[in-house]
Amino acid sequence: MADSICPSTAVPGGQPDGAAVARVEKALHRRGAFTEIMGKVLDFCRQRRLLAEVEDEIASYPEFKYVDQSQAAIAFMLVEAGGLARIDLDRDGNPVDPARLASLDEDAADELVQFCALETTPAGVQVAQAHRPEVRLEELFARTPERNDAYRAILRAASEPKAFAEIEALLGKQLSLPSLNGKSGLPLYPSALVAHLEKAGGLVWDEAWSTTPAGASFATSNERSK
Amino acid sequence: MAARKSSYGKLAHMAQKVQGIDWASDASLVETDEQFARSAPLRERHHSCCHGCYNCCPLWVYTEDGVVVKIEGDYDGTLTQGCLCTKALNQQHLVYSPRHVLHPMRRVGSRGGNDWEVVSWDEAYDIVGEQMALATRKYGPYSIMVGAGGGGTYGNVFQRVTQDAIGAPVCISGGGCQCYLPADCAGQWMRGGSNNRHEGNNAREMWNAWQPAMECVVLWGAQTSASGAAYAARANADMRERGIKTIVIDPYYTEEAAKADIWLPIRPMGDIAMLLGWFNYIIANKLYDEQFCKYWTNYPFLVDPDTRLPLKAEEVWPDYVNPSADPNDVYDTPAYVCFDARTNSVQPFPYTAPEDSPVDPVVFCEAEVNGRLCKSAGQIQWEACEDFTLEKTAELTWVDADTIERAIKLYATTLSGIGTGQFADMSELSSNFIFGTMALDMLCGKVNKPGVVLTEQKPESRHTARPTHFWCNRPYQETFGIGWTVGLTEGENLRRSQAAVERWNAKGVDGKAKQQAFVDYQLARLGSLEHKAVHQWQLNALAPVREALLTGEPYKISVRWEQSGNKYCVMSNGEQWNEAYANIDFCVHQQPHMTSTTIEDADLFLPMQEWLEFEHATETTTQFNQTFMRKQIVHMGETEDPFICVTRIVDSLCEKLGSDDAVLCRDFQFNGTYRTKEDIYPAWAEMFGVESWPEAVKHSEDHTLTVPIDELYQFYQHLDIVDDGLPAGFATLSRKCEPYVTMAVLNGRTGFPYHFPYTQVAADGTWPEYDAVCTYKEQSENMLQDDPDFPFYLTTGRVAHYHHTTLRTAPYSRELIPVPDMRINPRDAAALGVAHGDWVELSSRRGATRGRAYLTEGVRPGVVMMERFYFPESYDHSTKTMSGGWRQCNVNLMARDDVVNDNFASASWRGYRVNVRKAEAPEGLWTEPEQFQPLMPSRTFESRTEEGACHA
Repeated sequence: MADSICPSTAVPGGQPDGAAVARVEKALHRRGAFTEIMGKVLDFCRQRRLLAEVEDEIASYPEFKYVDQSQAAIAFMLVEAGGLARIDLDRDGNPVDPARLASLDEDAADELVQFCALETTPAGVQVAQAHRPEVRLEELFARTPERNDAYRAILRAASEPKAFAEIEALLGKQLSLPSLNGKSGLPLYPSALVAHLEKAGGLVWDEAWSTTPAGASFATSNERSK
Repeated sequence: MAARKSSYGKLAHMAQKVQGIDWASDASLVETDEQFARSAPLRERHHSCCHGCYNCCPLWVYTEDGVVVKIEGDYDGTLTQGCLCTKALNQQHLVYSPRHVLHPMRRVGSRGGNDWEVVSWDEAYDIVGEQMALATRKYGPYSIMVGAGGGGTYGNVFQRVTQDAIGAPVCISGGGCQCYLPADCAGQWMRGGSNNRHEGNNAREMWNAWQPAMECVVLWGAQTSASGAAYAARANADMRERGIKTIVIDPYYTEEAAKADIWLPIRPMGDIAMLLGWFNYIIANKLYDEQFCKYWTNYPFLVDPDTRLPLKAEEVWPDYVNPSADPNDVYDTPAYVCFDARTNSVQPFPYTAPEDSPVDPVVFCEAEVNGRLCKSAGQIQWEACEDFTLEKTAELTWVDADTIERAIKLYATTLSGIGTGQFADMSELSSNFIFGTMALDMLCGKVNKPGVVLTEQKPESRHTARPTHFWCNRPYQETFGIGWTVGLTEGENLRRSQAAVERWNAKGVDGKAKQQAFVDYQLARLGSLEHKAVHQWQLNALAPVREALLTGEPYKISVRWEQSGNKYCVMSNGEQWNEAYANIDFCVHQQPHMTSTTIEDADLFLPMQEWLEFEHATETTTQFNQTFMRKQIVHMGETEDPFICVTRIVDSLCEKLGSDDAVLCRDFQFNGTYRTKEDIYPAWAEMFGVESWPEAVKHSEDHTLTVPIDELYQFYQHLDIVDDGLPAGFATLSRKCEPYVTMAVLNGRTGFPYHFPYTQVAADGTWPEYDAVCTYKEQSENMLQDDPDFPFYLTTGRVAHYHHTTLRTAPYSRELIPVPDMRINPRDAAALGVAHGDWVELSSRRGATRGRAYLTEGVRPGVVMMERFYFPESYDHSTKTMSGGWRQCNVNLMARDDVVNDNFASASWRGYRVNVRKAEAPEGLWTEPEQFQPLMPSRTFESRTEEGACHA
């Protein structure tokens, strides 16, 4: 069994077209529960990885505890969308020539392909870049500065794991901040702020809310939010 | 009864003829061996009732060795008399359809694909419970949203009580605010009872063949024959045969219009102008019922110009003692203020029998009260219609003045009433229309008497005490102490509220906190601050929900529990919803068949029973005067009863959260659902008066509950003298009919009656002012506008073949109507170069769709008409996309929900500007009958699971 694989053969530096990036973006945002996992996988696979490594990696994500599909299924959604490239490998870890593979019958192909590796495509890299928590948090804090005190309060509180009820108790059941959803007729609720921070990679749920390392850097820094 | 005898007579005659034929003599029988004789299939006949729509037509189902081979109508159906429609007959094709999913399916792969694997029910419930519990722990219970359906294959009670149980406020329906909610409110708010819709067993007098009194009926935007082909269409034919005149107001030449005595081919959505024209003519020509208006409506009440509420006597004369007040402070009988013709002065107007009234109230007047000029409610109604002369009405409605006048005279001078359809519900005009049509009948005294539409039926409609009414049939006041029972005093309502709190306290739960949690949950419904009548059905306005999904605000929604067919096709803004639903973390969809919604959004699919599989005693099993046992005749695979499914899901949620106490009120769900059949059988048995439901249902035909016709029709209930010595009146705020809709004013102001003793007002203390009378309004996009980019106007309607989004996978219906028709006037078609049967593209400012041109003089030039919910739902490997066709053939892609009705948040699924051009057929969709072969029924109990697993 291969315990290492050959280096990437992907052409670096190539600019992906907008449509390719949009396809990856759409895959990332096709189901809320998968978005964070997929973003991390795109980042992880910037360096070519064996599928088994990817599976182990995904299994280590707190978000994965709560989803109902396998690591491989999620990873292959990204392959289908063009965010990850799939590379079939022989028993020595060398890439199998797709043309050769296509010429083989099913049994021979199975015999030849022993492993599979994944590598982020240029479109996937671009999406991963935009998906970095630092980038997303920067955007979040810039979007509605009037909410930043509340965001920081949550991030500070969740430096130790916090139940949602504890965050609600911290902020109150409704905030005096206006909602972006004006037609709802309702003010902002704490769950919106929590979910925004989660979506930006600043909070993670692992049986309770915890601030991520990226989130921690925004918890105290006024500069980051300007 | 005469009609039924006639049907049996025909049958008996046929039987005699058959017996006369010498074709089955003993000599033609031959010996055969016993084994062969036994090999004949076991033929059985079962009684049940259809659930293809909400009309519950009784029928017989024939099985051979347990397989359904035939469905036929039951001649004992009071109205149907043996008739059935294509919807009922197609049940065979749905229950045995290769698309009827028979096992829970978990998605494997990405949303938008069609790859699934079978899971067990235990596993499925476990997944849903886990995902809902996760959302609740992460974001609180508001993060679970429910998708409800209309009155088709499914009811909607279980959705609402389930929401109440878990405290999840977001529930949307493609119908709801757009279907029947306005009429439900109007009936309850304006007369404390039923309304003027033919749906829901209202408006039955026109079908009264036993003591016929009605002389004329106005069918206003009501396609009764298309909605209820088996019973209404047949009963309508009888009605016409009895000589009842019909006035049909519809922009489209419907089945009813074709046979009408007077058809008013109104400009689409010009109805409010037409209504005001009728008000004007009737008032100006004194064709109204003055005595009824004086003593049985609130028209004579003087209205406070500041509050817009009828003045109460105590407000004007603080020392006034109301002679009709209940000394025990339980029942509410307010005294109001009127201008008295006898004394020519403003006087208190206590509630009495008309003959005992101390005043002779003036209906149309204004008078000075404590220095302020106050108008009577009747005067306010008059001023709303004052300008609408026949000429102006004709100009605005595009119907000639003579025809309008002829119709009004016929209506006003006969025993008649207005029966309405729900066309206006699907528009911004929903409140204006329903308030107007109900008020017109009240103005003319067409209430509670033979020959009118607004009546109440059954012996239980009689009164021995002052009638009261709670706004829904669920025990919110008993359980949470929330809501106002109309007809009770404020003191009594407060006592009931407090009693509920104390009941919680006695159970060791902080009752006040529980009450507050319930109110918080109610007030968290999106858009309900502006459109407060959505609380009537625990709904939300649509656009704010979509916005909540897109923005994550005002609170996070994480789990979608979709219990209806296909939201993509019954609502506008499909592409935006598609984007919005992608933010959902987990979506579970329960239905008998997968739809575009499943393919696009669902992560888990729970297969529900078709009605041939669905045993029930109460879920829409009443038609006219008969209530039927719905029997489970077949059971396919592992399909589940939806009532049990929702209960098991909440069970699973509670288990994952660690306790029943972790949700708002676990047991509230059982005000409509049940955990097992054994739990509910005793209640069903009691309802039908049998000892054992399981035994009785075997012969369900013997247990139809029938209200004798003599008892069904009841009149003049408001004149019953009740225990306070006064006439019963109506279950309204004033105890009289309220054509001036006081409740609408109060509702806008505080959310009353839904949250009492709490209120719903904006943070800045403002509130919306809802109209109290029918007031002139046009759709935002209307035909009076000059709009060269979108020169046509779209109206929609029903066809008899489909109900809502159901039946699209029934191949015989698809053979009859394989693609959407667009009805267009031949002159318009000629100008566009479009021939009958050509494909056309329709586009609005919001989206586009395609259909096939159907040329007819049944629509006026400038108007086009399509079926309101058309979509193909034909995804398969042979189609080019997996969307099911919702992007290609979906009329609602052009509809709008950004501008809605003030009270009810009704969106516009019809009534907007469009353009039309000749186009090619959409690619990748089935358009010809033979293409529907993959949908043909299999007649096996176990579907091709492997196929179903991969290509639902």
